[in-house]
Amino acid sequence: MIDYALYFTQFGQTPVFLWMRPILTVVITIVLSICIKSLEDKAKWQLKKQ
Amino acid sequence: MSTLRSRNICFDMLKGLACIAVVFMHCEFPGTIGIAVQCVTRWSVPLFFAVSGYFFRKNEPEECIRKAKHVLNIILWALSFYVIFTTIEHILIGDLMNYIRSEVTVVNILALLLFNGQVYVAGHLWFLFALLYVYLFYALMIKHGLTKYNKQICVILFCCHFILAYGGYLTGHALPAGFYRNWLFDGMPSFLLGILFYASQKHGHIALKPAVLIWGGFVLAMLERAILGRDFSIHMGSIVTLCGMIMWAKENRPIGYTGTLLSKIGGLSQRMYTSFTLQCIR
Repeated sequence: MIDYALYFTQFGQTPVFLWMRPILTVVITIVLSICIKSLEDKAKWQLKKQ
Repeated sequence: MSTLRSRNICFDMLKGLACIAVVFMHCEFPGTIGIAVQCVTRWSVPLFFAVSGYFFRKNEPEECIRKAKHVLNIILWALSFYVIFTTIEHILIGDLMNYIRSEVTVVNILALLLFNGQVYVAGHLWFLFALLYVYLFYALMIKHGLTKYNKQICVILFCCHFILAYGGYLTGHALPAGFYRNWLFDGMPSFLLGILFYASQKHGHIALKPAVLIWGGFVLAMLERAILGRDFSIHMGSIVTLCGMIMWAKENRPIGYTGTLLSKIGGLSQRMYTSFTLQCIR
């Protein structure tokens, strides 16, 4: 996804990006996981409420 | 007494560290550093199997089935999502039919059923299939009274893994990774290792210092990589590191701020696994 997003930009083709890519992937993975977890928690809370 | 029963946060921290290691393993840094990082992060996938084994407390087939059902539930959700995602991706690329023809083959389906190989969706989901098989196989082991041979089975399966991986490569008959990176030769021995470590905790057998094993394993893994000249799914050094890490986690020492942060990441491991796969699809 990161590759797709940045492939067509100049930044996506620089050596700096190659070093940033794994770190960016970790950060995005954590952020996505937090989002999924909060969505799950919200759904569970809604179910409990019902 | 309360400290004995409280949650061992060190295992959460290890899981957090393993999550990051898995990302670095698949999304490499460039050059030699990337190779070195890949070598020293190969303990991460076996760690998840080992942690599953370590926290497998009820030695009953019903417990295995319960856990297998839970894993199956995750597989179905993840598969549904990724089948849709992959289909849309290949429609956009414009090669859907070619992709289906190349992916959905009898060989690939057999590889999925036997070795947790890849069919249609990202191969990273192999871990879930492997864990499912591990629970089912362990249920059979319990049923047939084979759990008293856990140690022997663990050693034999790890030996088989390295004979197939290294032996095949060194004799000029390198096998596809699926032959050794699967539920039987990767997942099962790691799972049993976790069970054995928990049993050793109960009986109080601790001999070596964890730090020696962890760092020694890193060095060994890099030596293996340098000597063999190629990457394998796990190195012998990875198993040494894994043992050191579990031994360290068992001691449940204070882990500081960074450790607490990592343990919070470890708590997200299941979601990280599913969302990371999303990013790995190319």
